[in-house]
Amino acid sequence: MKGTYLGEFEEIVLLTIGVLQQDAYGVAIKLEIEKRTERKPSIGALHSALSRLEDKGFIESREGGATKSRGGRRKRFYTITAAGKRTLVKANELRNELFNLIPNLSFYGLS
Amino acid sequence: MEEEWSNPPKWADRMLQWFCSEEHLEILQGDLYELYEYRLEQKGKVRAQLHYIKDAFDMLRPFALKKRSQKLKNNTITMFKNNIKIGWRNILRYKGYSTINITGLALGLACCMILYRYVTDELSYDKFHTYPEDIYRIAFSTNDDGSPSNANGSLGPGATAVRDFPEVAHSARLLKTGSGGRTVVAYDQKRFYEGRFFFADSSVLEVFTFPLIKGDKKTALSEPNTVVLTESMARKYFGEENPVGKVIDAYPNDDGKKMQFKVTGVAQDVPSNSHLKFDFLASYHSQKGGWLESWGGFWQCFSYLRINHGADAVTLNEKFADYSAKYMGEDPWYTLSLQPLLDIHLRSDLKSEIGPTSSMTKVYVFTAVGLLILVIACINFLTLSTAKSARRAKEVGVRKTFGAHRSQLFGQFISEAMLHGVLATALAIGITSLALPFVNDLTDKSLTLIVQNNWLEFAGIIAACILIVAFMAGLYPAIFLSSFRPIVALKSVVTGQGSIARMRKILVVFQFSISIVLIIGTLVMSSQMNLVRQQSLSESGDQHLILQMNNELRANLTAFENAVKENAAVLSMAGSSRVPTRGSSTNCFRDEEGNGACAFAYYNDFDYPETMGYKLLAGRFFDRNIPSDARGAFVISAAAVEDFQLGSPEEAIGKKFGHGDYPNGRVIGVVDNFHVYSLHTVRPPAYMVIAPKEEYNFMSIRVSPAALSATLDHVANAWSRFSTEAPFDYFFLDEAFQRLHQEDLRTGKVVSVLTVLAILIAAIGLFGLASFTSEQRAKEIGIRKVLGAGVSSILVLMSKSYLGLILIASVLGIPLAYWLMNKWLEGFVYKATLSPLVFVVAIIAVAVIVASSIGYQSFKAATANPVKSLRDE
Repeated sequence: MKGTYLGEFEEIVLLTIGVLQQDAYGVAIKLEIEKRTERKPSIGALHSALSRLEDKGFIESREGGATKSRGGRRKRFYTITAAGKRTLVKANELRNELFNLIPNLSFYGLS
Repeated sequence: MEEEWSNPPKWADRMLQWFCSEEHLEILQGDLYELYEYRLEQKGKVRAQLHYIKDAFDMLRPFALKKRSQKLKNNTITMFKNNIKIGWRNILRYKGYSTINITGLALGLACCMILYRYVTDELSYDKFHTYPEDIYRIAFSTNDDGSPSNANGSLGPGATAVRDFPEVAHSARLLKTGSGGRTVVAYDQKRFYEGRFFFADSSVLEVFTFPLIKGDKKTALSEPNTVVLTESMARKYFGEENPVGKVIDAYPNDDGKKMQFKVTGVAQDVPSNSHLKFDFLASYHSQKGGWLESWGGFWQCFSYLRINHGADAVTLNEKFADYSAKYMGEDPWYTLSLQPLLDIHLRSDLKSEIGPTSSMTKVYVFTAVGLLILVIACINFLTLSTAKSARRAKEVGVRKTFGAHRSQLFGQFISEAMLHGVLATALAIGITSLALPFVNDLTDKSLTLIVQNNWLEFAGIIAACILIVAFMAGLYPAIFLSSFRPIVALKSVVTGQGSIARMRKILVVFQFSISIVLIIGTLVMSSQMNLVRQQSLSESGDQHLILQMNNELRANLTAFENAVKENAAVLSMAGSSRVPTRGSSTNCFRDEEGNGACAFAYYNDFDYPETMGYKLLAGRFFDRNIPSDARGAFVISAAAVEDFQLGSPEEAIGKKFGHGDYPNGRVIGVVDNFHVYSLHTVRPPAYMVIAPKEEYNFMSIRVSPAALSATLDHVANAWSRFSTEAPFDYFFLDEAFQRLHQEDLRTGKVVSVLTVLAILIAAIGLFGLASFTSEQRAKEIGIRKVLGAGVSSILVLMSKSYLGLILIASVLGIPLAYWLMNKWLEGFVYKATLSPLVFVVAIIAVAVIVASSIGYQSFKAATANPVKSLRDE
């Protein structure tokens, strides 16, 4: 099994799944990311990331019922696991911690 | 709704289905469709489709791909293992069949491997030089049309070419002196005869690529009395010592005088695929005299040149056409042309070649025969496999009933064939490695199974063998067996045999036509080779022992002769300038009426014609008691009588004969024509005349064939008393004549080996066919026996059809053999007659082979208890 390191794109995907709650499936996640960030991830890249996250145990998936759209094909919905939540919290904490350690919080010329 | 989704490009969809694992396919496809729909609304059809295609390709990511290995493991690998297992069980179950099958295939494959090695070796001749296409040999022509006739020639052109033509980068001559073709080489206590001793220009190492291990190729041969020898010669004479700077003795010239050479270089051994093979290269200007650069005469001299890379050889060749006129005036003796180095071994047929050459025809014939034998072996596999089909039909039926697809059965039979291929290839490698020493002996090559540790090539050969067997031999049975319809197969009525039976018969006729041709070929060749053996043997069966003379022996010739004659087995002996098989010198002169002709000249001692056993037609031999015989008495051959127009042999006696040295020459005797060279050449006009011992290069001794080794010991003993410098050496005249036919003897041996192989494989095929027929007709035979048929009538019934096949094969094979053998015999001036007995013997031999290979099966069928074949219905 791969390490539990969380890549930058993976983190965004993971957070987006959290944002979307019950409605997190491929296209929805892609559109949400496009809406919230400047980037346009390809659907292939997204699924690749989802597959990695699942392998690492940060998310789990279940298949929804057949729908009339999508050519009658089912969707796969993703939810964050406990481990996923822990990793997210940890990453957030680490970031804040480091952020707070910066001596002059108000950068010259920035604010 | 459905129409709306059919919009995205189908091929992209199909591609996705092809590579994407089932686990992910539905979800990914769903997402792609949804996005497509979304984009259709937002951006229009074209861009949506483009996006779709891009996204489909974008899915080519590791996570989405089918796990191929897993999938294979699940099904194909298991089935493959199972196929191999079933195949193995089948091999074990029908041990007899399998042995025949695999042996036949292995023989065919081994034959192919050996011939492949042989042919690639032939084609590789002289290619090891750098830019071999830039090297040419100056060929000499005495033909009217200027086509090259001689590989050897004059000494001049090889020296001047490099000065006269700017295109020529280097030119070099290789000169052999001495009539024996061999010289004694001595260092310290070691003395041996060496036949590959040449005088060569120093540029020879620039023209050719013969790398020096020691010494500098630019200076090695520039000084007189220097020599370059090969690595193995260095080891032979110097052991572990460094040979450079040491001095060796040699006696290369006809005068038998000692010459000394300082070793200045050691060359790598000459590769076996070089047409030019040497052991010693002595510097050209170790020889002294004006003749060294002369343009006249034919010497044992071979001239080579290397042109500048990229220079135009065609125009250079044109310039060579009238080159000899520049040095020899308006009417030169010969014209010159350039012969590419790479053509020498396979595409030239010149007189006085430097070594034995081969021909392209031989390469083609061997390739064809190799492939033919492989095809026959594969055909046998095919025959036996289809013959076994009745047994496998039920298996096929059951498998199909359980849902096996035709392609799976096809795979099963192909993998069985491949299993046979693997076993046959393994066996073939064994056979090849056992056979190669004999092949090398036969062909005078050094072929190996693996060339220069090239394992990759070897692996390729193995793979090719297995695949050839799997597809050439296995394809048809696989198609045939997998085509059975289950119901028919299970009812045990295998149809569609008619066409196969016919094909099998054609194959048998084909095989036996070839066998008949080969048997006739072997018989004719062996009778021709018998003629070779008779060529030199006198009626009494006496042997002719020939010694090479040297100065020490000449000094004490009478004492030496007396010592040799002490042994009662020595019947007669005499010295001579030449002996048959060892070179010749021709003299041309006119008689008093002005009729000019040429004849081979022999300067010899009194007893020479008698020693050689020549048959006297008229007059007498030389007589020591008649003083005039010592000067100007000639014994000439019948052909010389004819050429010099001396009338009948009786009329020729007493007529004037001879040239400047013998102004009062008379013919005293006429002998029947005798052979000097191979049976390919006419027995030449020749004359013999008495000359002093300084002229003798050979000593011929006629010995009775009884207790030969004791006689040899005696002669050797006498030799060592009188000749201390040169070691004892001899040859038998009949063996020398046989060596002149080396190529013919080789061809004969190769053909007889191929005959045995072809017959063996054909017999195997016939055995299969017979077993198939008896199996098929088991019920018929059972009924016949129940109704009262005897064993003999059933045997006749079973063999009748084969007799017809032999007849057809004979009708096809005999004319072909007759034509081929006549072609082969055309090359001989003296040939064995093609007796009709040969053809009868061949047919009987084939009939016996057929009878013995079908006899067992037929007899088994005829004596079987009819109850066994009739009870199960």
